[in-house]
Amino acid sequence: MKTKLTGTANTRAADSSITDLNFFTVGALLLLFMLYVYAAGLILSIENQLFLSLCILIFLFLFKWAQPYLGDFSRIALVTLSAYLSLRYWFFRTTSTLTYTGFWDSIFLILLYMAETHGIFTHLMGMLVNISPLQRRPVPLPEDARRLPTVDVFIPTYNESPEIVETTAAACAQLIYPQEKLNIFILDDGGTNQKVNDTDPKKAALARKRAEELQNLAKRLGIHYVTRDKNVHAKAGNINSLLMNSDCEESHENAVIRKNGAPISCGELILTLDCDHVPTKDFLQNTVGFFLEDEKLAFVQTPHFFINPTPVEKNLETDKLSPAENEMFYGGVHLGLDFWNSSFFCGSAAVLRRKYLRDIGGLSSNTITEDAATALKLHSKGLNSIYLNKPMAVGLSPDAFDGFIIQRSRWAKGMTQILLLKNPLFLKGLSIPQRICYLNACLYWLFGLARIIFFLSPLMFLFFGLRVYNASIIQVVAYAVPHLIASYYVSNFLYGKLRHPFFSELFETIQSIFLAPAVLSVFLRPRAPKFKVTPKSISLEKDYLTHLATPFYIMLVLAGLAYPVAAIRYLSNPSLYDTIIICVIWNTFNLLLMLCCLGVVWESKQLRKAHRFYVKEKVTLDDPINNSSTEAMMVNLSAAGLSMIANLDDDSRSKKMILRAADSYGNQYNLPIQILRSSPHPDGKLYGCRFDITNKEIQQHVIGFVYGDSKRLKYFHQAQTEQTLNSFKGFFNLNKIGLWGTFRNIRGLLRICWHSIELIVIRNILHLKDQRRISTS
Amino acid sequence: MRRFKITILLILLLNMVQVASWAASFKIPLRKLAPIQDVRLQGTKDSYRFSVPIPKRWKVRNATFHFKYTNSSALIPLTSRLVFLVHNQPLAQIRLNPDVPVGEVVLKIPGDLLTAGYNPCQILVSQHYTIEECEDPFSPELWTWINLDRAYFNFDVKPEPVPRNVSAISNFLFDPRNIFGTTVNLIIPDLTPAYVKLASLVASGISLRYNYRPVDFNLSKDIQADCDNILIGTGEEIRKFLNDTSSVLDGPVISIHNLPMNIHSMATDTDLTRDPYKALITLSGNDQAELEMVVKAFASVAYPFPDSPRAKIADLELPTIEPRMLKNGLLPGNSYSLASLGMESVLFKGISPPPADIDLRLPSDLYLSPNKFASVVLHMAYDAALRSDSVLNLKLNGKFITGIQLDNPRGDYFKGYTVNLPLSAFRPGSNRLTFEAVLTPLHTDKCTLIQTENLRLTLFGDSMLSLPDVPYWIKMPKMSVFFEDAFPFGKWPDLRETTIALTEKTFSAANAAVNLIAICAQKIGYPPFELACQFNLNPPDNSKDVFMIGSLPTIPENIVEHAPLGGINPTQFNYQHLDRPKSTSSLPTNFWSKITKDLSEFPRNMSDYVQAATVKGHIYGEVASGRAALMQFQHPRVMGRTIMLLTAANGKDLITGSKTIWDPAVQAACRGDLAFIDLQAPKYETLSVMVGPSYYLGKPSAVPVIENLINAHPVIFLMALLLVLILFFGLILKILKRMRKKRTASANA
Repeated sequence: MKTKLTGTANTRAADSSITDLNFFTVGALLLLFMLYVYAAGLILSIENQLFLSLCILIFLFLFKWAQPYLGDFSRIALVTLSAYLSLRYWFFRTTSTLTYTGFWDSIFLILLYMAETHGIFTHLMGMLVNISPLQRRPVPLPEDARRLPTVDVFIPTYNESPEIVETTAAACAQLIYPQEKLNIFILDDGGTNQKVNDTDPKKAALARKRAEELQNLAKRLGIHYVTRDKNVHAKAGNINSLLMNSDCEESHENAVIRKNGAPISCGELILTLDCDHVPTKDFLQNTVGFFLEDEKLAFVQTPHFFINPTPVEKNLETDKLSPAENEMFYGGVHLGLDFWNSSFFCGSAAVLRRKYLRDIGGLSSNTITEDAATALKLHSKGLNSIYLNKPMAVGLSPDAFDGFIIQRSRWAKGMTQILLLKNPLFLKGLSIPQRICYLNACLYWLFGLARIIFFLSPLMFLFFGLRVYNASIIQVVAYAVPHLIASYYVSNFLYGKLRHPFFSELFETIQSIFLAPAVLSVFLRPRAPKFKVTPKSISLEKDYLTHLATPFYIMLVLAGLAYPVAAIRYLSNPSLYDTIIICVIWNTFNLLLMLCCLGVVWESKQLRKAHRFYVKEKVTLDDPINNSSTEAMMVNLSAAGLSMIANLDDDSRSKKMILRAADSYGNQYNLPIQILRSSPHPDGKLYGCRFDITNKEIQQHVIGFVYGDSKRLKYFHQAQTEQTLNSFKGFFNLNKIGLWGTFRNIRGLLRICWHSIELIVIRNILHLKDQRRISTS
Repeated sequence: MRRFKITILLILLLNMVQVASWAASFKIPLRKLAPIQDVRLQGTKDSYRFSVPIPKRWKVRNATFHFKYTNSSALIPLTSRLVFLVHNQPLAQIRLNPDVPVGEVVLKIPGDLLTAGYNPCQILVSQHYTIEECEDPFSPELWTWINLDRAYFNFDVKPEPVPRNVSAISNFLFDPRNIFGTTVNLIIPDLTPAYVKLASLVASGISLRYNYRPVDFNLSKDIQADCDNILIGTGEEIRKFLNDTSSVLDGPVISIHNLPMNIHSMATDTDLTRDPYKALITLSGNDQAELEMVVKAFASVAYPFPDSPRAKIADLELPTIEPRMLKNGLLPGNSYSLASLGMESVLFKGISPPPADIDLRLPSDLYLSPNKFASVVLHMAYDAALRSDSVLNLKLNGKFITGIQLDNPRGDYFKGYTVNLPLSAFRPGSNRLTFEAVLTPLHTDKCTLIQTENLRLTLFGDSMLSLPDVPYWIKMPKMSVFFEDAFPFGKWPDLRETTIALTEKTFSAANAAVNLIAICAQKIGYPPFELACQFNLNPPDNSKDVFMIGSLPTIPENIVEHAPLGGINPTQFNYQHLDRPKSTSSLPTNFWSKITKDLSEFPRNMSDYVQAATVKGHIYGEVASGRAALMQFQHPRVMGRTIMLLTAANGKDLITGSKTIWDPAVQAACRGDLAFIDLQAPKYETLSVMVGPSYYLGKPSAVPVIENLINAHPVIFLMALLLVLILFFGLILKILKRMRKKRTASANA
């Protein structure tokens, strides 16, 4: 069935959810909304505002308390009441506090106001997006395999090591899907004619070698290797080269047709996977069913499940205590986006319908976040999307802080490009909620600018006397504090399990100093940004201070100097008591975040290449020499090895054994392992083992066992997101993290100093010895 | 005939006795003449200045000035002196003797030095603690304490006769320098609303001429001796009253006479039968329209009266008036040069020159937002060789706001130095901005010549004060603002939105009304040309603010019900005992105590300002004899309109009550919405409470009605808001459920 993709028809289709409502409902909604906004803008005396804020905060707590009884009503009430306090604060800021007191005052006053407005409106839009999250279950596939669509798996790669690609490709080869309907492609952009014929002979040789390895890998796994002439439009260009140049029928039974010797892709659906995203075996089983139910479905996105912590979590050592950084997006926000039919295509771990992708000219290539831009295009054509919150692809986060910043800068630049080049507010075909969802996603990335302003604003007043915030303490208590309390309270209610309080501030602050200039550069030259591949799977051999640390030390010193300056200002200008107090409190919060940042910029070593994740599964260990079997409890697992609790003989060290285990699909695995070490454990002994991989077949089995089971990922995922903290505990937690981070940083610096001194002393001693030797000789 | 001669002789004798009684000595505390306080004169050279006002009605024959002082016991009598100067003329030099450190000075001041007007006086000291050695001019032991609070003048004065010129109304009779004899008797032929209005206008004209001094107005049908009398009526009524058939009273005429001893012999008696020191002014016209024109002319302070016994008012053109045009008042959103505010270019000279003050009068209902700033753009220059700790300090209402460092030893010139003053630091109504220079010589070593001649700072009069554009918005009732600028009645200076409602047709009620309107006019600085007056038991429903005046039994029941002094349900409030200053629980002030302090600025009861052991009391709708009650509350039927009710147990108390309101101490004590004034002279103890509901006046936004309503009834607003929100939640939930169903129709969720 061919869907008509004209603008008008699609707009109608997209807005149908709203226009389906009857006139009375729409009228009542508009009227109540206008009353709501009007009531938020009413001018109240300060004591009445205090009374109102207090009452609304009490109602917030009551609705939270009554949530088990009132269900969704409570959720809506919490969101709406919190938004009301935020709107009142914003109206107050807009109408009362923007006072001209001088040129420079006004510049910074407006900047701060814009930063706050950004924060408030992204928060409001975020709450709207998440008002009704949609948790889906997979749609089972029909028993008749003939009804299943053909699927092509795309694994684009550029410069990643062949080992990484091999893991992903091997896992793809084990996907549960009729083999005659499945084709897997390695899309190698590192082996293009341009690369292998590079003017630098070393580079050309390396590219050739890598391409050869990947070709051999493809041959061995029975999958396809494709490359192209030139590296144009990065990842999007790589995928499009195969997608758009495949001259095949709409629905082709035999997906791969070799044209001039090169394979072409004709699958009805396309599963895209980054080369470091290893799919579970049931990926297609769980996602393809949606396409059979909805002809207008353009893509199904699944979460990116990262097995290793981000550098921020790793360096602050919060990875075992707090949910992963991307949990908020994949575990919360994306569910809300799905409700509004605005799921994002995240570039990987998603299945797309070829037909619609071709209709829009392939993946969008004029922004560096081609995935989001593609989703936007598809949605603007009135097509549907689905988000299935089931982790089915294991990926890797950047290991080092600079890699993390490169990745986030790309996202920030790309989303800013979308804002400037394809502004969702004005793009035809989107429904109103979709516009809000996309706008929110784009505007969010301006947080870098906002955070810098939030950091500088109190300093501007304390150091230079610039009046950036014209309000008395009592007004702050009546307007700003209730807004902040309500915002944190509701954020914790919505995302408490996915992100601990104040972690957003921390994540944003640590990135802000680097993202702000990146975003500004896009504003100046929207088409200039180039795609940069995020470096991953890097081994960090020792602790070190990242080269990106300097700005944080400067900011820390500035925040620290603000206190004596505040004291002087207080003595010399008592009429500004209120503003001084506000700025000092504000600066203290900034200082705390800076202390946390110090912990982040001190890079912890990362030796492990294959990251482990936690499991709790019974396995059996067979000793082929003694012909005995022992029950064990597997507690963690990686592609390289595992840990388990068992009671083995004392001489078991270095012993080679066979691990017998099963996955949730009923597959049995017999995997050779070697015990490397043991340590005492309350339930026996904890054994550290490695897989004894002697050939590629075993390796494929290991990959299938380790990464193939989505249930295992679900267990790990749930274990990570069980803890919640209230705002107070969250704040103390932040204090603890900050102080610990600072301690580690200072300790690290002292060690560096000590080593430097040691080196100097040793050199001097050696020098003296040499001199003596020379003199005696 | 003999009997007639005896009668004439007796009248002459009486007249002479009366005249003789005027030529008298009396004692006046200095604090009644000038705004003074005890002063400490420090350093080798210091001085204090004040002015003594002498009205034109006085001819000072001589005077003595009495004051006490205490000097430092470290002074050297040989070189330490206190000098008293009048018009820069030294009258006495007193040796400051360390052996007798406490002294009392009685200074004789020749009468010819104290002329009509403001007479500048100066107390100057030169103080030294050594002769042989170098002296520190700022040594702390160089001081003399002048006790001016208890200082007084003894005047021996002879009254000046009232000139028989109409111009004397402006420049002789009603003189703000006159601190005695401010009683004025207003005579009206009949007690009608029109005449009460005219009497109020005349009283306003007089109170305006007295500037800020209290005036005691009587309203009657008869002439009253020993005070100036003003007779208001048509020509015919006046002729009838004065038994005068002359035609000079034809048309709109103001005429002035000496007060007759016998009111029925005006036409025939000679000057000898009149009191030459008191005036009888007649304001007449052929009809009511002409009479009103004459009265308005009289009330207009700037109206040019001729130097003749009669003035015929040919025409009167009143200025166009806009809301909140107060005398010396500033309006938001405008800029004013300091010169226009009464401060021409000022030269600060010397180490600690006298500060320069500017009185700023803001409309009392101005919303003094803490988010807005008034800016002072200063143009100034200072001399070279000032030490870097020289500063120009700015104070607002006595509180230090900021200082400008004068730290260039080569001198400097500032053009456009901007100081932002938080608007919330201002008070509603009157404010005082003070510029205080502290100029330090570059060299202050002990034994060097200290050059002070170069210690100069000029603040130019073209410096500007700009007020931000803020709305008018105020929480009412608040009687204190009535005594600032007669708000809310004075919103239109000519009181076009005010009605006087007298609940009884008695002279006592009318007299009280006249006093209240005169106070109002003095506060505003403009006569109430458009005032309306009525005798009515119920306040009018038209959109006007109402002065309601009458003894308590005559106040309508429906008004008493809504007034703070409720008639049916006893009003409950706290009486105070053991009043003492309110203190905060902890020192030094921390962040939270700052917040609680700010919160405590919204007390329900004015007695919260003092920390007191309180007794809960009940007030029934009764005011005992010897007391008056002044109340302010919202009009029960017209939202946003105010009723100010003055009541007492009887007519006598009502008049006394209205007169006590002139007392600045009573005015300062009237706050909240209900004030009880004890009519026992001279203290007039006043107890203010806040017992009634609040309401808001002004336009904080484009739709002020709703905002004023919700602010007055926050609980109802909260309920309404919750209702809207619950409907909103419900509707959103319904829509979301429907959308969710639709969204998951094709795929399970």
